[in-house]
Amino acid sequence: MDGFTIFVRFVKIIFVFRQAPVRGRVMKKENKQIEDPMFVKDPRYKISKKEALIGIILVIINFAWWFGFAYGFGSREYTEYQYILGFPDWFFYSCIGGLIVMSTLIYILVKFVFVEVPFEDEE
Amino acid sequence: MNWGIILPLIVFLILMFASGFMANKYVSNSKSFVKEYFLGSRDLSGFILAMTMMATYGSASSFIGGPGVAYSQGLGWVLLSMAQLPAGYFVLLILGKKFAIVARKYDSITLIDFLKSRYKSNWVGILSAISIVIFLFSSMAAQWVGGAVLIESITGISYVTSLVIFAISVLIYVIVGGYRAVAFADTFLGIVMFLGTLILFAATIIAGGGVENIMTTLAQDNPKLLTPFGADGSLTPLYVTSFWILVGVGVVGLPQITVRAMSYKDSKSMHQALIIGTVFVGIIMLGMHLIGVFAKAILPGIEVGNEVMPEVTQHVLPDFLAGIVLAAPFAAIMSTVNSLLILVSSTIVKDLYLSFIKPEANEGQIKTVSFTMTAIIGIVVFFMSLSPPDFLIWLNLFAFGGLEAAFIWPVVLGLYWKKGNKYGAIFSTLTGVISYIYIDTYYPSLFGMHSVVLPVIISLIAYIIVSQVTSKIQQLN
Repeated sequence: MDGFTIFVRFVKIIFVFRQAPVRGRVMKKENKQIEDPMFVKDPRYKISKKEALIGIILVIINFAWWFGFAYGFGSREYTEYQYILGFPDWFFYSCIGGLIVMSTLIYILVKFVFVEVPFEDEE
Repeated sequence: MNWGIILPLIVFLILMFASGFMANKYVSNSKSFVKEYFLGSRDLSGFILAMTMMATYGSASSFIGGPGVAYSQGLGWVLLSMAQLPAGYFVLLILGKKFAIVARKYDSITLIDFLKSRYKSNWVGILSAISIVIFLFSSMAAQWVGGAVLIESITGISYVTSLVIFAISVLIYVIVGGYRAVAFADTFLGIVMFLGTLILFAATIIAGGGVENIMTTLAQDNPKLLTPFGADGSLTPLYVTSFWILVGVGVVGLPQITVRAMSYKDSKSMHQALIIGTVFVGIIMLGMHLIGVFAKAILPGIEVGNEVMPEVTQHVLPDFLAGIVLAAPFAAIMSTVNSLLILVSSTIVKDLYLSFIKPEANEGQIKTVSFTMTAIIGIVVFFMSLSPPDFLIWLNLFAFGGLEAAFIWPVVLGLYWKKGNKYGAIFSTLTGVISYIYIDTYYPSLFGMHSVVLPVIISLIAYIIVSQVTSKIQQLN
């Protein structure tokens, strides 16, 4: 491939690049006020936002539990540790307990709180 | 040549090929080739979604590296590994249904499609595509090297031959079956990872004479192994906590994870995946890292961290079971590699070629380009893995943190904050990546935290300020 062909290809890429339309089914070109489907009032979005907040709360709970038992409990002298199923107590509550608590919380949320919404649009 | 171990591995490989050819049926019958090949036609169900997410996330470090460090550091490192638990639920919840709905409205097939539609900007697309290709290419090579080294250490086959075996195993089913093949394979691989963890966990405890006994042995060697602070006290709360960003929450910025959040069938699938994913991630992380800790009581003299897992497996299990269990780290590497491969391929084919070079390509041409490109990427990675150049390894170090800092805010804030605009996104990505590379190179333990924390904060500030300022400027015009 000689230099000129490379140059032409390069120019073509830049030219096409600047013209390439952004795709999306909902973009109507004749409408100046293009409504972004992301920010229309869709009741499903409200649910989604609520669940996102729940996600954040879950992480906070997860972290607090993990941290509290690990560094709160675990900061004693190691000679003071009690042992549960063979594991040091801080570890048992923080890691094993944490896993059980979070799994249970998520199960409960799925069973009783999270809502099923249809993904397809009724068009 | 230990056939007791090799035989299960061969069976394993055959099953993976099978998933590729099963998926190919969907590819041939698909209404939209691109949607099927790069996204599985948005058809993933709960269990498969959970498996592919978990398997893509869990890689060599979960099965080999992590337990290796846990071996030396003790329970403090297991504690750190549990920062990964949110990976099972956080991504799906924070992106959630809105992401799935909007991705359908935008008809996004890749994360870059989504970003381009959201920000109405080609520059965002190009910048993201370049970041993905550069970082993930090197990540892929690093994993391939890991995979070949693993085969070599287990079977004694030479590195190059191991690499060839590894390459062929991955390439065949990914090229033929695309995203769905990856998802099917990941399902199988995830189950292997899970079972492997359970089997090894039980066997290790038995070999050590029970948990109590193991703990006593460890305490005799170094009581600090039983504390949260690590064998030398170096695991400070701040340092360990900072990992929650890198491996817990920040993973929402990884394209190979995000793409899965727009590929599932319906709400029910998402709900199932939340539960399954969390339980599986938790058990595997907890289990594997504990195995590393236990191993020290059973085989105290191991010098190299990466040898802990293979050694202890072969020590506590009969050959046949050892073969099955050793398939687990192999599965972890494979499942990460296949996702990276299809992701890099989708970026080059869909986000670069189809978007800018030849948008009018017909389906036949797209097929050819997709198959060929996936193959070419694989071959290039193969040659890079033969003798990995230093810069590759260097790039891989930045891949995880760099991508997280690059994408986390453009994706998350893009979804929920109307004011976020393309300038904010571009600046966020640039500041995130650049600050991460800089900090990780020159000030790796700044303020005693992992180097990803500051770049994530910086890119957040950049996103917010630049979006606000530029939208004000646009309003004034």
